[in-house]
Amino acid sequence: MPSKILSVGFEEDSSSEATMTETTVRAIESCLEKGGKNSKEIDLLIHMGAKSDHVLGDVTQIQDKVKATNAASFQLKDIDKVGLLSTFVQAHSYIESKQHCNIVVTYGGEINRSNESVSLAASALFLTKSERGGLVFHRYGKHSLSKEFSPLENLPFTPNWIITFCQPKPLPQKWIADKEHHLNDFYEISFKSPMQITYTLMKALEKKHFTRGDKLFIWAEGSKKHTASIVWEW
Amino acid sequence: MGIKIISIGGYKPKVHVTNEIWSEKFAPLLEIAGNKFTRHASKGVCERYYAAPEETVVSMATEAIADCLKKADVPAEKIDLLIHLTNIPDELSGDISEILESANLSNAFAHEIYDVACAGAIIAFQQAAAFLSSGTYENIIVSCVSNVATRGGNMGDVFGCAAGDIAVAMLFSKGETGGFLISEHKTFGQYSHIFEFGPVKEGVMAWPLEHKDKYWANQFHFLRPQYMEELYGITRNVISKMVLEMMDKANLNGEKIEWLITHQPGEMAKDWRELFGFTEEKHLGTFKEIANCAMSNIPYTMMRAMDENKFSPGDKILLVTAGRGIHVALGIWEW
Repeated sequence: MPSKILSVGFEEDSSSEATMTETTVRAIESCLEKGGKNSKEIDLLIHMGAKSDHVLGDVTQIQDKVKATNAASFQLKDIDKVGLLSTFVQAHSYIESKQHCNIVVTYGGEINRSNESVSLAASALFLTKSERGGLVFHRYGKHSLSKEFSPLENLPFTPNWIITFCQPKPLPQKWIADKEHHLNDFYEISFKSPMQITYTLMKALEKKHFTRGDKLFIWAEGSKKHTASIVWEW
Repeated sequence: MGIKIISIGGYKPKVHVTNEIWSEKFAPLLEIAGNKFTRHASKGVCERYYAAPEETVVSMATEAIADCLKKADVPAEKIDLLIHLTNIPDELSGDISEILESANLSNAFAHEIYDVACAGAIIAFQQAAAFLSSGTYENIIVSCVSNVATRGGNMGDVFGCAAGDIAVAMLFSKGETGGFLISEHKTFGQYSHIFEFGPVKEGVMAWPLEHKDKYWANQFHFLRPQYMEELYGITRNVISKMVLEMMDKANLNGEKIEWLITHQPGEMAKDWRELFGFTEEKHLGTFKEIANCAMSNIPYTMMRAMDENKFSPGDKILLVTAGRGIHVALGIWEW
């Protein structure tokens, strides 16, 4: 069963009263509104929090507040930027195996706009079944960027878009002839935030960058130089 | 295509605490030691294990994974996914990077499932099944390190009295038959208040105060007596209902299912056993031997059953867990 990213929501709160739970709830509400869905339709909520209100996790409180009463939920730890890509793999596999079909994945943490104001922020993605698309490649390890790209040379396609956590050097010139196809917002929000990728996805959706069948190569580097990459067919 | 549990490895931490030792060392410190809920929660426990100060999540997971791989005779580099669960990690951000390194899982992707407590093992089984059936991964290790006794629970809380530490690792691969016939996972966020995790000013810790800095997390309430009645109500009305509905959906009952394994076969689970139609002989558990080890009880019980050759191909096993959240994760696994 193929899968697709239906909508992306993003919220930030720079007030001193901001909580991860409330910010994430608003990101989910924004995501649901954009996707024309309601919270009762969610059957799995996966939350990743670089920041947490509660030491042992926030996901059940988030689920309760967003009124996702028909959902299962869990939280992921040790996420960093690499872990973020693992949620794409997880969501796709759940949909493909038909265990869940309407999955919301949320990411929470801090962003730092232009190195001036620090805000709590959260993004939410709604993933669901589709006629085509979804995960077509994933890779994890400790690779330099050039090695990260090397196995992809054997793939029977060339990615149309590249989304990276931070500014990788050198850019993969083999694929991307022009820099317009390398999407990122690391100059807009902080280098440290794993939400760079989801924020970039949301911006690209708003600008209608992606066409059905496009291949998105997404790369991230996380703690201890672990790297991960996925190719997602739109 | 089916899914197989190839092997299960385990690691018992160094400190063996019998009921006698526990009564002598801890009970006098606890105001609630004689509390009816405490007696109820710990009834049936004969011994438990506590992680020694030098035993960490990473070290315990590494031992359990090594034992699991040795039993399966599978090299570490064959593993392509590690799903890890624990109560309180060594590092706030999680431990999977360290576990991958120390267990030599050089070709594995990894993630850590959190905030699911005792229901974690079944949620990880469900995930492993999804990954294997979709072909995303081929050899998956599920690692469960329970450290609620020494790190997560305050010894003054109800479940702290009945908690133990242990590590278990399971290897899942494709098989010709086997796997979940049916499974469910639902989270009831409206009951998240039952397990309160506010820091406490004064707690009774499993270890002397000189280890306080190391066990930074051991200052959080796990379950307070005032919520026990509500929890029993949920056990009776919510969890049991889900199990019965699932069995009904699968057209199975206690007579057609060979084994029942519940997260902790204490008094609450005895009620379940009778309700689901299982005899005591078919209800497997290791609560007596290792106490309440959160997400590790079911894998540990399955390991013991495998060691004793209890399971035959085609056997059906009803797995029932409920964890803080409240998460309810269930399944009928065909061996």
